[in-house]
Amino acid sequence: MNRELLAMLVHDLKNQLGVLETELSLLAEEPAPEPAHRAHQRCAQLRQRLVAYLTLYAAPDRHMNAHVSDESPGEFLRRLERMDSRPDGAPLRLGGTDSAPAFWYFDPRLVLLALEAALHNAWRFARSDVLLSVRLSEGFLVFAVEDDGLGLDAKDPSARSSTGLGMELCAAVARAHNLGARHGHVLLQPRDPLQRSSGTRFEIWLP
Amino acid sequence: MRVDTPYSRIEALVVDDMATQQTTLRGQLGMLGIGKIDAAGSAEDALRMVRSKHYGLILCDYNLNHKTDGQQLFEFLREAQLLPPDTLFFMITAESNYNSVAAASEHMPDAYLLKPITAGDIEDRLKNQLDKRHALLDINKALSKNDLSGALLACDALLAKKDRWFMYALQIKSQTLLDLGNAEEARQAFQSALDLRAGLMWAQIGVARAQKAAGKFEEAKRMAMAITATPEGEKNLAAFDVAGQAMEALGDPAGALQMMKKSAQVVPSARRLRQLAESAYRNGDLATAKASLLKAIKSSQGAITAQAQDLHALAQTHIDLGEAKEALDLISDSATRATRGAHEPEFECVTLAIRAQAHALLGDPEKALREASLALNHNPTGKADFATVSLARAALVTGQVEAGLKLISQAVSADHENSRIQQLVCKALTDTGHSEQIELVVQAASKGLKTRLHEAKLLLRGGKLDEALQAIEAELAEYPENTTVLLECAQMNCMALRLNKRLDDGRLSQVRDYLARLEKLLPANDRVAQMRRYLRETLAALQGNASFSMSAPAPLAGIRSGT
Repeated sequence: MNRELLAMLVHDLKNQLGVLETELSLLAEEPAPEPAHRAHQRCAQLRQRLVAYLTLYAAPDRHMNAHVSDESPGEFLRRLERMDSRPDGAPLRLGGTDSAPAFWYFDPRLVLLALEAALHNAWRFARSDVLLSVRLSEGFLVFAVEDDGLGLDAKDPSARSSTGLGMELCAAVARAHNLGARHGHVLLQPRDPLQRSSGTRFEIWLP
Repeated sequence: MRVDTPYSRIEALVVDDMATQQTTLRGQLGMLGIGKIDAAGSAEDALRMVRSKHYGLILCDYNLNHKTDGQQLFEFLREAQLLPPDTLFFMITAESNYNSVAAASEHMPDAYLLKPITAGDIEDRLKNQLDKRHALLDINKALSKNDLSGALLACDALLAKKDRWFMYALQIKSQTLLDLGNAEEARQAFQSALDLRAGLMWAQIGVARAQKAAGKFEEAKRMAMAITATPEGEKNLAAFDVAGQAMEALGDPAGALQMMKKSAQVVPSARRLRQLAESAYRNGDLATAKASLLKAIKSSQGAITAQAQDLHALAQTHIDLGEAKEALDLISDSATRATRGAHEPEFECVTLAIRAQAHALLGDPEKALREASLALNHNPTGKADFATVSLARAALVTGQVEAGLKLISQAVSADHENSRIQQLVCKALTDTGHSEQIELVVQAASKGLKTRLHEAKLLLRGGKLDEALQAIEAELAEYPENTTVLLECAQMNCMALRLNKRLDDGRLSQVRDYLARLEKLLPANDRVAQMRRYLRETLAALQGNASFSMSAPAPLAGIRSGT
């Protein structure tokens, strides 16, 4: 990440912290569950971005180690559905949970971070639908995040705070997963190959 | 208000040195509905609490800012069998520790949680572990009753479901087959896991272990070395262990020592350093022995992993290096006297034996003789252990040659096929200027027992069953911890059961007693597993479930090659 993007990230985190501070001071005046819930969400989002940054850049040798374990992909998607940083009302449908393989090997912490980042990305562009699915393809486990936004050429509604951190993290997480000669990778493409402006599909392929 | 959740009945222990962190973790557990939560601020407190109460969940911070870290606490609890099978242990680590701890550890806790953690993180892990426990319930029930055949059936039932727990069932099945002494079936089961998922570390190690159990030591060594040559396996302690054990079985103690050096580099725990020092000492690499013991003592001083025997081992190494003063300083040091176990009579006896050797070295034969004689008065019969050899050394350097050689002979006879004790006594005889006695005492002691065991077998073959059993059991009465004699006793009694074609309860319980004693002396040993298998086959034959044969288990080389 270059200095400019890093400055942008810190700037954005600082702004969000400021909002959180205000929310908390209001809560101190007048405690209420709803604003407390929102403050918690904001906190979780901030934490997610900080952890993503540290995971990507703070490793001593800049090398990300995947500690793979036996995981249930279906169960894993259901965990994401409950994640703390999901904004209220953010659309999320799950797909493939029943047809997914019963178990697969990946680093649940890293893949969770990557998919959380991918989902936040999708929510920035989505109009009303985000689909998170899992399937088996060519011997890889493929997690996909699809949105119904304006596609790859769409203007980022929050471009001022977009640093590319999420996508960079996803690519690094995928690269950390290898099995013999097969390597993990990510794909970003139009949801419908024939209609470039009808949503985006992000995939992370894990061997 | 208390909310009933799936976790309400769990009693939890939080181990963290920071009071604020304890409060946060208590709060998070409370959010999950866990009501009974204790907290400990140090490993010592935690140890005391775990000893006095049953916890369903232990949440422990890796960094306890004290002598003992969370991983050491966990491994200590596991090795001392203080963690009940239904206790979940979650380790909380910072990312900076996580990579090194997760890549190279003696035992893995049920989960690692990376800071900062949320109640949701704990719940996810808790749910996952409870689901797993539920799925594996039948298997674990059978295993807890030591019903290995029942465990295999339960594994097969779970495997047939082909669900999320398939690989766990396959892993337990493979290991159970190995514990049952069915090395080839175990190898096939481990291999089937590798066919499903190439590179699976536990399955690769399993294949190497199965090869070792089948006596294919070269293959086991080659496979284990291949694992350590990969980036994923370069820190795998189990692979170093299998390679080292295979090398020892192949008669290559120097190679085994190299493996121990590597594993102690990966995890320089007191336990690994001790093992390395013991092997280095036996092989005459005193510099490594000394350095490793110094490190082990320094790292464990004041921690729960401290062991008084380390001080004797180091003091004896000083003596062997001619450093008499250092040896004396060490054993009269206040820290030594304060170490747990230092006031046991046996400890005092070895201390005297070391003092005697030191004074002999320093040219004070009278003092040396006095101390050696006092030490000899302590110890009636020699065992196959370091203490006996130390005592023999003290006797030999103070001119009490007959008593020294007697102890040497007893140490060898106490476990006459134990190559480690033979290395130790040969070194002691050479160092004390009695190398000419190696042939005479060591080999005679070993040969005497071998001949008597052979004679007992001849009696058996000649149909004199009772006399054979009498002869072998007399040897056992003389050498109750001799693993070869115990194995022969178990085998001959099984043969007697087969010959008499009758299920004799008394004899059966005797065989089980021999096996239990062997399990203690040689934990997880391949040859003991084979003997258990022979007993099972004997029982099956007597109950008419299998074809009847008198064939005994194939003898294996390398009795100490167990894992």
